[in-house]
Amino acid sequence: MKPPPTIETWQLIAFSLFIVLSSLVSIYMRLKLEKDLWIGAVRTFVQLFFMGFILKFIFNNANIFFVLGLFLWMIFWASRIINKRVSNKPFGVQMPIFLSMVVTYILISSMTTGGLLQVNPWYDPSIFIPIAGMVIGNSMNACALSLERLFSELKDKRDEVEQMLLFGASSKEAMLPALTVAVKTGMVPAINSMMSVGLVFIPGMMTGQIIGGQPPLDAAKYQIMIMLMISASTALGCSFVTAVVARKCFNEKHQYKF
Amino acid sequence: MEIQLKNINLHLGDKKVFNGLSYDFIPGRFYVIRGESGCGKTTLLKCLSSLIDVESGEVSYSVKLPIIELRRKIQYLPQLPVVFEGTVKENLLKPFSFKPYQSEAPNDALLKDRMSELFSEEIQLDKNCSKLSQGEKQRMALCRALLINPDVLLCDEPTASLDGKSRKVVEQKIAEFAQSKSKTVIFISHHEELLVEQKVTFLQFLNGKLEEVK
Repeated sequence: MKPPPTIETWQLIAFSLFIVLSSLVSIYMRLKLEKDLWIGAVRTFVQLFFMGFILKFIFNNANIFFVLGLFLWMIFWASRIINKRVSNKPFGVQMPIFLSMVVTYILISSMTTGGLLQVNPWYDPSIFIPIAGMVIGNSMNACALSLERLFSELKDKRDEVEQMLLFGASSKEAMLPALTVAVKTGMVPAINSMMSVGLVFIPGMMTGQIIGGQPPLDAAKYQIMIMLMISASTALGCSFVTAVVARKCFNEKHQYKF
Repeated sequence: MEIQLKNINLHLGDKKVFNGLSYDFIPGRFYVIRGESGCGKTTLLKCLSSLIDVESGEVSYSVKLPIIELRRKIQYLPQLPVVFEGTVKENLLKPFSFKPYQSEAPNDALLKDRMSELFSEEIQLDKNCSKLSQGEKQRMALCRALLINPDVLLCDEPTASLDGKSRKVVEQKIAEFAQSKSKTVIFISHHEELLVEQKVTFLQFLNGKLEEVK
C-alpha cells in the first residue's frame, strides 16, 4: 500500500481557496456569513495546529497528568460551547455540564482503552486522547440538545409540573417526564447515525485511518468501537447532565424556581 | 386545616403584590375572593399551596406535615384545568401514581361512581381526554381533586370559561364539599353571585391586602 501524500505548506495555503469559494457563495447570496467563515477558518488553522503541537509534546512525554490535563481542557471547552449553545437557559449550566462530562467520559474512555483494548498504560496518549476527543465531540451536541429540550419542556409544561407537585409529587417525580423527553432527544441523533453509518457516509475516524494507510476492515472495527462508545457516552452523559441541571431548577421545598 | 398569613410581602417585578397581608383562613368556611384582574389573586392561591414563597412574613398551617404531604391536603383548581395526555382514568389516577400514594389508588367502580356525581351521561374511563370539552375537562379535574380528599380546595375561577350547565354542576359540587366537616374552600370569582345557595365570607383583594366585605 502506498503511503498517503503529505500535505505541503503551499498546498495547505491553496486549500484556503475553498474558503474563498464559500465566501463568494455567501456574498452572492447575501448570507452575510463571510466574516464568520474567515474567523472559523483561522480558528481551524490555529486550534488544530495548536492541538497538533500539544499532542506531539504529550506523545513524547506520556505522563498521566499531561494526558488528564489535556482531557480536562477539552471538556472545559466542550462545556463552554454547550453552555453558549443552550439558548433558553434560566441559569449558567457550564459547571454541571463540566462535572458530568468528566465523570462520564473518564469512565467510558478508560474502560475502552484499559479494559477492552488492553492498552498499557490505559492513558497511553496516542490512543486515549483521540478516543476521548471523538467521544467528547460527538456527545457534546447530544448534551446541548438534551438541555435545550429540558428547559423548553419545563417552561412549556410548567402547569403540568406544578400540578404534579400539588398532587404531592416530589420535585424528582414532577421533573421525570421532562427529563425522559430531554434524554431521548439527546440520544436520537446517535442512534440515527448508527443506522446510517456506512450506508450514506464514511465517518471521520475511518476516513482518517484509511487515508493513513490502515486496511479498511481494521478501520471499520475501530469505527464500530467508536460508534458504540458514542452511544454509551451519549446515554450516560445526557442522563447525568439533565438530571443534575433539572435538580437545580427546583429548591428544597419542591418548588419550581423559574 | 387552618391557614394563617402573617404580614406577608411579595413583589413580582416592580409590582407589590402583597403589602403586609394578614388573614386567617378558618376551617369549615367558604371564602369568595374578589379583586381586579392581575391584582395577585392567583399568586395568593399559589402561595397558599406553597408553590411559591413570600419575601417576608409567614404562611403557617395548623397541620404539621412535610411540604409534599401538606401540599396534597390543599388542592388547587385553576381556571384552565391541567389535563395530562392519556385517558380519563389515567388522569383521575395521576395523583395516585406517585410512590407514597400508590396503595390508596381507587378502583374503577369508585372512579365511575365519583364521575357520575359530576356527569349526567356516563363518561367512559378509557376515553381519551383530548376528546373532552372544556366543561368536561374541568369537571374531571374537580373529580380528580376531590378523590384526594383534601382539607382545603383552592378554586381559581374554575367556572369562568364554562357554560351555564357545567358551571352549576361544578359550583354545586364545590358547595357540597364545603359542607362536609371542617373543609375550607377559597374561591376566586368574577361572577357577582354563585349559582348555588351557600353561606360565604366575601373578601376583597385590594392594594395587596385582603379585607372582609360585610
